[in-house]
Amino acid sequence: MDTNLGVLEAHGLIKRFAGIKVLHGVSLEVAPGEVVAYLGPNGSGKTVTTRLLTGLLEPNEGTITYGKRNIHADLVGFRMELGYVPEEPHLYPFLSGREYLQLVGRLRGLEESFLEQKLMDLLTLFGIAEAADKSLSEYSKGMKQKVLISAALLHDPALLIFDEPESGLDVTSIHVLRHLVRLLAARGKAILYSSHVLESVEKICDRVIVIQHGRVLADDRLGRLGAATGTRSLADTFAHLVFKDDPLATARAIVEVAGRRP
Amino acid sequence: MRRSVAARRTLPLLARLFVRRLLDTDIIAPGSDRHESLAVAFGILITVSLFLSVALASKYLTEFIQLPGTTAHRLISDRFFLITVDMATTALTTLLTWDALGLERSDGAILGPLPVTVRIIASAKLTALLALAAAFSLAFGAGSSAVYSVVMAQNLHPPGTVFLRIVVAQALTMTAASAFAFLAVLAIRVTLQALLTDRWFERLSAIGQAVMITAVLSALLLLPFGKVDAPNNWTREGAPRFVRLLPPLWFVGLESMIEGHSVADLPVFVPARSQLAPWLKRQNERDRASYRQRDSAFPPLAASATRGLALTALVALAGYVWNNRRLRLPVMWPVRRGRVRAEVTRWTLSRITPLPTQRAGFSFALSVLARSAPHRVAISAALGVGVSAAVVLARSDWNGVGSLRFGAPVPIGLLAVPLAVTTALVAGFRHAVALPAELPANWTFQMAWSGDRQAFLAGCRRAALAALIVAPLVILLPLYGFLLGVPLAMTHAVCTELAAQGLLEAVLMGVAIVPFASPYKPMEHPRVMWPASFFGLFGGPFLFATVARSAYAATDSTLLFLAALVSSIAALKFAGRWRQRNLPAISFEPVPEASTQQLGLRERLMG
Repeated sequence: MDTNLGVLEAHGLIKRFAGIKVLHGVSLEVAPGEVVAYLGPNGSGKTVTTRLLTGLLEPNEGTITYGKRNIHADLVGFRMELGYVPEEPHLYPFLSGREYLQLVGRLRGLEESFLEQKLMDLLTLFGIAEAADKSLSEYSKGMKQKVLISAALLHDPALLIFDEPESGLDVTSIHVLRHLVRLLAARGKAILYSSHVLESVEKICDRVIVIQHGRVLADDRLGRLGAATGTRSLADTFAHLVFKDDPLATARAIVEVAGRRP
Repeated sequence: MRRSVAARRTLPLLARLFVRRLLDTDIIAPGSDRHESLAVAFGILITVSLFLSVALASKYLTEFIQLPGTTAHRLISDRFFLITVDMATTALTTLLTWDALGLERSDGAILGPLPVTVRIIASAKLTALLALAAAFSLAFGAGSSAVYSVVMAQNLHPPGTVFLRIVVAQALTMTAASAFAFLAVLAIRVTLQALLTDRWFERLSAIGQAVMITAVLSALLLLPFGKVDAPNNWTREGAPRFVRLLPPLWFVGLESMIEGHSVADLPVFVPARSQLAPWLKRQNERDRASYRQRDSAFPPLAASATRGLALTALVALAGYVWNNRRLRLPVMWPVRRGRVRAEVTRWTLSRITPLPTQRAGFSFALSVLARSAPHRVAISAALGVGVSAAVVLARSDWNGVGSLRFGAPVPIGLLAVPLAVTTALVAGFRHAVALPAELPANWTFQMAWSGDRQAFLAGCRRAALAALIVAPLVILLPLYGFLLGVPLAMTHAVCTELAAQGLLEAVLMGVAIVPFASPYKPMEHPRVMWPASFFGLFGGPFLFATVARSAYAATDSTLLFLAALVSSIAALKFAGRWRQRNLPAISFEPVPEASTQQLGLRERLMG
């Protein structure tokens, strides 16, 4: 296990878009060897938080530090330690999977022979080596996701931020990803895992942060959250914290609307 | 019944959707202000057409007594010019939307699951294409038809019906010529697609688009350099037969047929208290008779125009229907990557670009230039400009080419051609560098960026050197070897390469962005840069060729010339490094609109 790895800390993050506050003082911490789940309903501010944590956006207020250093003081240095899998698989459609990984690896300064071997090994292990030289525009969503995960792992980062990494992946790949995340944490990587798939979160995460309307509702270990809310599963805990309406009633209403005919 | 009503509603709905997509993704960059961009595009089209019309017709205003016979005679060349510009503009606009001139795989993926037949989807796309072509054609043709006719007929004082006939003839012909250009591009595309099959078409389509953009733009730019009265002579008896193959001449014939002898037969208008001099009367009669002699030339040309229009329409529509008889879904073609080729590529790459960041820049630049549509269009257009400049520079000296081998002085124009082509390509590359390849994907650069802009830029520069400077020079080398002899051709190729490399160093010196990744930043100081570019395209190569010709006279001076070029590059490299060190840090933030900046809205919006 690697030692001397940094802790990612965010304090009082506030973010406004067009004057509208979407994050209201979010604070969190991800330590080496820890997998922290970041949960919340759609539009709760999960993706904005991950973009702030990667430096893609700047907070209006609050600080983000990694290893006690403000990430904006040396963004390039911070990103050398960061692997990021974004929610939307925006890639260069005219590049092949291999070319995209070569671009990322070369930009990160990896040596050619090492890079070539590593990217092919990753693509082979993710089961898309056959498509390595095909255009990314021809890839399915799941294949693009595998390329993005490979790109995030190319430089062996100490900190990983996954934003909906299971999106589009097949069942086997989801199982591989779950084991992968656990093994990476065991190697001392700090991992923030934003997802809607509570089953995965339950299996791989040590701690859970629940966010709604840009505010952190809960931040604790899984077992302690369950005890505090009097629920047995993460799904129940999440429902207890987040749901205001009865899901069954909402589903019934949707069926009603969907059944309308002219 | 309900289905047919739904189908009738679906067609216009889908057509509107396709128009919007054509504008958003093919003509205007996604995310930009569509209304503003469209206003600018149509404004440019209308301005150019009005400027050309007035410029062409103004010569008639200066005549105190305008002779109808002479005017009818001169109209032929004017019509040829206007029709050619109209056709070339329409063809270029259509070529910009090349990829969208048929149902795309994304159409299949998006519209396939909906309960809409392929026939309706295909019809909607064709309707959208036709609507857009008609709008562009109208923007160019309507104004020019009216303005040109008004200015041209100002001193002729024709009766209202005659004037109307002149305007209608021009408007109809311009519309027909425009339709022909649009349908011709569409016909070429659908024929290629039908013959090549989907897989090969998708591979070769980009090359076809690039070649046609270069050819059409070269033709358009060379038009003002042609002999003014050449089209007039082409309608005479005994004109070379090949000119009958020129489509703009067909439409000149068509317009002349529709217009009849309206202009030629007008009586001479003599202003009050003036008299028509006998020699003017004789000239009018002579020109009128000369115009009448073309009566036999116009009908076959007009017939070629109508036949050509009908044939291209038939081929375009038949091909369109055939190619779009079913929706195509995203597909993954098998790709074979040869081990030997991969090894050779890797070895070459490691020699050209020793650092990983340089390698990233080199490979990414080559991929973008070859595969990204906006960048391909930029480079093809630059090549078109380069070819035009090369032809203009070389034309005056072609008479001397036959005697080159016998020790006659080497024509300067001939020596200037390679640098003119590479200068245009370097200018095109500088523009392409500022265009983001795929803006939503630039997070990749933000995440992996090491901050070494110089290394990435060096990789891009080497890619441009290989693809846009060395490759054209190698292609031209056999021709120059034949014309100048191998030693001189080789020497000139090396000198031109060094000069173009110096130019490349100079234009990339102040690049403060990540090439192909940062948001688009418009050219700074366009009022200085455009005239400077125009001078650089002609003056630079001409000056270089003049010095080179003097230098090639002796070995010593040739070596001195080479040394001067190498020293210049070294100095430019040094200056470039110094400049890059002093440039501000890279920003991936989109550049805010000027109006937003002025009002301080951005600061307010971003809180």
